[in-house]
Amino acid sequence: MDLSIQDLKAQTNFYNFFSTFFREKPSDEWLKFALELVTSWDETSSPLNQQLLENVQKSGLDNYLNSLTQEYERLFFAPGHVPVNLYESVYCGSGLLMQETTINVRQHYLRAGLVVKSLYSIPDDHVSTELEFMQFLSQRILELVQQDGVEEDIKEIMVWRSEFISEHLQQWIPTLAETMRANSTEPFFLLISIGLESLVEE
Amino acid sequence: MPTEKKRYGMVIDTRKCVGCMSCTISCKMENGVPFDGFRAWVDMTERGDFPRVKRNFIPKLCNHCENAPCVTVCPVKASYVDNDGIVLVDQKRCIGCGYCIVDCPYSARYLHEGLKVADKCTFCVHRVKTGLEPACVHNCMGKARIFGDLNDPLSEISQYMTKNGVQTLRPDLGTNPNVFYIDADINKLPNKGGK
Amino acid sequence: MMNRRSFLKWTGAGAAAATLGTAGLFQLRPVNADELESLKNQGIDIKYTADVMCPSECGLEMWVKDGRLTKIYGNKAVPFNDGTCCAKGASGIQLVYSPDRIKYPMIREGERGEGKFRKATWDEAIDYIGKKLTKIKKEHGAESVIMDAGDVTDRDQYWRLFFAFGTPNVFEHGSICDTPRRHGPKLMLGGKRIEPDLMRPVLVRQPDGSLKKDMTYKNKLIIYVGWNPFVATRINYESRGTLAAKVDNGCKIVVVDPSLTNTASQADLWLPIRPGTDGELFAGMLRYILENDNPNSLDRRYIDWGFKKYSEGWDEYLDAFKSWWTKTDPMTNLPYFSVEWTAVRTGISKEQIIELSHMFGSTKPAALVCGMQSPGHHYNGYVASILMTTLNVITGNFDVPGGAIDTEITKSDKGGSATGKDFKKKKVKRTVNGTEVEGEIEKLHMDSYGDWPVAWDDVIGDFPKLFKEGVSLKYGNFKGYKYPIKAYIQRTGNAVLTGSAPYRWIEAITAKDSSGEYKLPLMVTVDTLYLESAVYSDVILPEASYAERMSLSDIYPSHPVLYLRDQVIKPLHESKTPTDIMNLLAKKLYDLGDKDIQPNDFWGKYKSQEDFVNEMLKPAPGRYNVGQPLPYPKLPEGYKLIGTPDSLESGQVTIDNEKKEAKGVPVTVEWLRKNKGVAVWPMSWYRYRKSDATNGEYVANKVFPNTKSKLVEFKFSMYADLDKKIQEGLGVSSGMKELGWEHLPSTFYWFETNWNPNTNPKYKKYANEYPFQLIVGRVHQAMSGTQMIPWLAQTPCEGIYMPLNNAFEHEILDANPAKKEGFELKVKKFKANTWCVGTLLMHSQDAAKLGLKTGDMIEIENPLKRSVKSKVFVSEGIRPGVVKMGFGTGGRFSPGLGGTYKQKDYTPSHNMLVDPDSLSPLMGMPTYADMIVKIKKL
Repeated sequence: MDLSIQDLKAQTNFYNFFSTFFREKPSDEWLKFALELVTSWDETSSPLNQQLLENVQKSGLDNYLNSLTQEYERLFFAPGHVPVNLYESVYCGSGLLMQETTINVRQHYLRAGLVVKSLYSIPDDHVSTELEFMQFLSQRILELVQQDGVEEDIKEIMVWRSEFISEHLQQWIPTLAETMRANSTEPFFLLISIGLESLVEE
Repeated sequence: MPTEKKRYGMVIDTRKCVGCMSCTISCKMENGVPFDGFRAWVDMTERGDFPRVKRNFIPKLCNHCENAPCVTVCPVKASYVDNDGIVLVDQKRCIGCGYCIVDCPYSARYLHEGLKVADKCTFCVHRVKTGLEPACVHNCMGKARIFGDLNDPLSEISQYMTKNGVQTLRPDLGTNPNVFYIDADINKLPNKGGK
Repeated sequence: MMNRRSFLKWTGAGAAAATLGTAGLFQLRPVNADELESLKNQGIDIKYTADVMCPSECGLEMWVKDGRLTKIYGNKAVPFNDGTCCAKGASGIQLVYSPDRIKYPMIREGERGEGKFRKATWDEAIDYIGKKLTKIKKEHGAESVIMDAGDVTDRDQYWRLFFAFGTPNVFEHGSICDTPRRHGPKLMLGGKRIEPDLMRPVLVRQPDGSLKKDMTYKNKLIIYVGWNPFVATRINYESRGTLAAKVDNGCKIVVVDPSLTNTASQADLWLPIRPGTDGELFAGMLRYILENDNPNSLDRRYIDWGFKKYSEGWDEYLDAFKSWWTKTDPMTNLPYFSVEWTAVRTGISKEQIIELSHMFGSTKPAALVCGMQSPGHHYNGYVASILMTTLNVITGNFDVPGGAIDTEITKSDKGGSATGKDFKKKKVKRTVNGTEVEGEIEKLHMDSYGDWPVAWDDVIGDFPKLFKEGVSLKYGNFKGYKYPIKAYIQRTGNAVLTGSAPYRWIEAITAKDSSGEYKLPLMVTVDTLYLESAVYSDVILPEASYAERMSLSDIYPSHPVLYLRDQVIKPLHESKTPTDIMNLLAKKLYDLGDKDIQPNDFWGKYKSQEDFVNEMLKPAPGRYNVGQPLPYPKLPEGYKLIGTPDSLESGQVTIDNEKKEAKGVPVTVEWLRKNKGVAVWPMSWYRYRKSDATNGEYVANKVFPNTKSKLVEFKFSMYADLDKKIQEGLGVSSGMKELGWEHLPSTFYWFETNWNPNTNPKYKKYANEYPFQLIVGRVHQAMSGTQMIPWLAQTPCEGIYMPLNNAFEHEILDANPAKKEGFELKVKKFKANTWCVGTLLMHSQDAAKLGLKTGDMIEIENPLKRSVKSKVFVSEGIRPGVVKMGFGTGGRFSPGLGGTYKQKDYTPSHNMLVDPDSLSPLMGMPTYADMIVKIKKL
């Protein structure tokens, strides 16, 4: 991974973007801007972009944003069985929450001097938290590089980052993305899933 | 004070089994057994004609045989007997060939779907080494499972066996199991309790 | 498609993403230096708690690592379960960490039943509920709010809140559990739950003054009628105890049950009785014993006439019982209660009835125990319950070693002033027919002052009717007063599925008035799991699971035993403990101006769960120093005992001679934690008698049992008191009218059950078209609540819960060696016959006649033209002409049930076939076991 400042900035911003998206239900305002961003990821002529534009035109922007919110609720927050689970241990552990994987994630955070605020109550391996962690690490590297920091320190954090990606994110984010695609036909969410997946590719 | 080495065994007193399958599920809880696998289970067969009907409960698990066919057949020596008589699988050595699974006359082994190696009851060796009993023994609702050192004549299990007549499954095969049954009427079971 | 190169292309877009991120850390925070060490190396923390996977509430030992619950075992220090733990208990982890559990408050969008909810904050949800409750109280009175604390215990916080709010209509699961079964012990002993003396170890005072754990079984005969302890597990010690008594003490076990339950299978004798005829059996046994008892014969000394010293009203009871002997039963043309009559009614041979009667009369000590399914679920169950109690008493088996113990009057007290029952004494005014009337809140109770004056366990089965028609009070100060039901708060019950027929409930809950509003404006569910009742609610509040809250065990031991349900792990997600929910809602109501809610009754007083539990512990054990051997020889006999075992033992007590109490140091949460979570007080037997030194004999101690006269009552003073209330009211209740009663009887009575063509002439006409009696029983699941647990779907049970699933798909982990942990989440195809589903158990003869074999699909229809589909399981283990299903196993229509939800279309929901208008006449219990059906192959 090269250390171009531009790259680091982009990564930090994207981790932040996705972390925010999955943390809680986004407002209509936020979704409006996100729409613009998301459509820029693919060629304008791609089928997904076309479909999205059609959907916006068909229902009008306000209604469309509203339907995105409802779809968000349906996918991630339905009571009882949720179509798309956002915890790593459900994908990598025994299908339950708060399992070995979760504890391992906690150890990664601790190594970097961090701990979740709701320790023991809310599992540490929520996608939003994991991405926030990645954002934090990328931000640290960026700061060190900009300030001409000690080479060892930069290398250490880079190791933390690549280990977290390979031991955790790469183990489940692709499946999470697939699950999103399997449960929704809304092109906005499909584009989100594609972006998310690319973020953790090696 | 017994100075010889230990020989762990289990007595299953079927007179006290209530058919609750806590052994099956407690084992899964203790050892993270996957959905399709079982280290411990209960065979249930209905016998007789109305109204003289009975539902027989025969709890089963690995017999930790002294003469274990699964140990002899393993091509990479992953299956072995430890110092206390417990038959174990070194899952790092196991290549998942499946010979032991087929060869066990008690159907005690299964292929772990995730790890792709042979898996089976370990008498909860991780608990036993710290002085605790296997999870299935602790939780058994009927207190029908007695576990301990067969080499110690004063142990609970030795005394229990002295007081009650015991049988083993497939005694004709010479496996010398260390799991004993009381009142299981083994001669009437299909294939004498084998698979 | 995207790849890394194209990702790098977006770096321009990265700037745009920046505006959409949020600065700083949200979920993470820096760790403190002192935290770091302890977080890295956490050993195992062992906590002692009480299970809630079923109402048995066994003492458990839970292992916690890194703040996670990892292992579950039985707590060896608790004599109730003595270290054992069933499959349900052991699978608790799959409930606590279920990804399908309710995680945050939810508010309904769309119609009730659509299952559409949006996530809400606690503030929003409590505000919604508080505002609606306040409005309803202003417009209709607090009594129009029902608080149903449902299925399992830890209900006291909710009861307290709603009593203070001003409604007496506060319920729990008991109403739809088995109220007719409790009737006899309640009337005659002041208790409710007769069990054999099988709890071992029991702590017994020795002649030298020491206390010893006694493991010896003294039982010689146990007869279980309509009771399956090995599967129902409600009284944990009956599993190991029944068979230990058999093996160690030669105790004979007889099971009377239409189906071969697991208990019947291990018994010495299985009598496959016709459903709904246990009363007949007991009546036949009693008549045989009375007619053949011979005090001069060693072999036939059935009756221990000493019972008369400790009872009253026997002569009247005997007269009433005998008055039937000369009457002829129109169904059989035989005299009532004769062995011939019993044989025809029960379908058990005359010889077997004589043998059983003789066996019960001549074997001592013995216990006759009847259970939930029968008579608990029959229209006329009271009759059987009264007879069962009678038989135990007159044979000299009540409260003797190895005999029958009423465990309701031997268990420890708990609750005290925390329960808030005193709030019900508050006086309110209501206008009745133009006149202002004043009275206590409790006199507004919808059942005991409404249609069910006798129902001391309340009635839930008729809620749908009351939701639609409102309450009309007929007795007490407020007779003539009418009020509607405007809110239904359901906590951890699942009444929409289990509270009689689901279609009735759904109809009542979704009914709208002429302006398009729901007739029942507010329905709230408080639970950990998303069950059918939640699907129909307006607001769902996530309650902390049993491992995440603190309270006390509710068990039925032979002597006082009380243990702590300690909070093992922190509440997960956004769930809250009952204490927190109580305080939040109380504060909201207070802030909205409710004068009945005072800070010092709620959040001002209970700052933690421990505060609440300590108040609940104040009255413990609250039982008397009576019987032999005397529990505390150094304390006054007959006095009420309060305080920890060690303070009572060491004499660190104050004696109150006025109140006749011996008060030691109160039990506290801290004390329990220091003692492996449990307090155990000594056992005694013969608790109804004391020694009269002057005359050298035993006499009644007038302290125990718990009736008005403190004697066993064959003449029912409870009925006498209730009858007074009824006669002063607006006529007799509809239940009494159904029976043709103008008054409640003073002693023994008899009437027939419903939907039984063999015993009740009313149903003869259905016999041909509906040839099967349908009964229902437990499986290795806790009723309706736990059916989403995958491990428990691997515990087949008795032909009614069998691995006969159709192939289906469900998300689960499947092996993928390429992944680090070897698993990945994907949709797994479950092969047929690997997952347990509810099935119908049928006798092979009946199956052959219908051309059925195990696994075939059938349709089951009742005379009300309701039908369900099912697979059939063919066996020899059931009486021909009878079919059986499992509770809560089929037709589950909430997605929160996981894999079980996928089986809903071909598995039977027993409650769909219940007659919702058949409620037992005194207690209003839905008659789950009174039904007949026809079956056809599909």
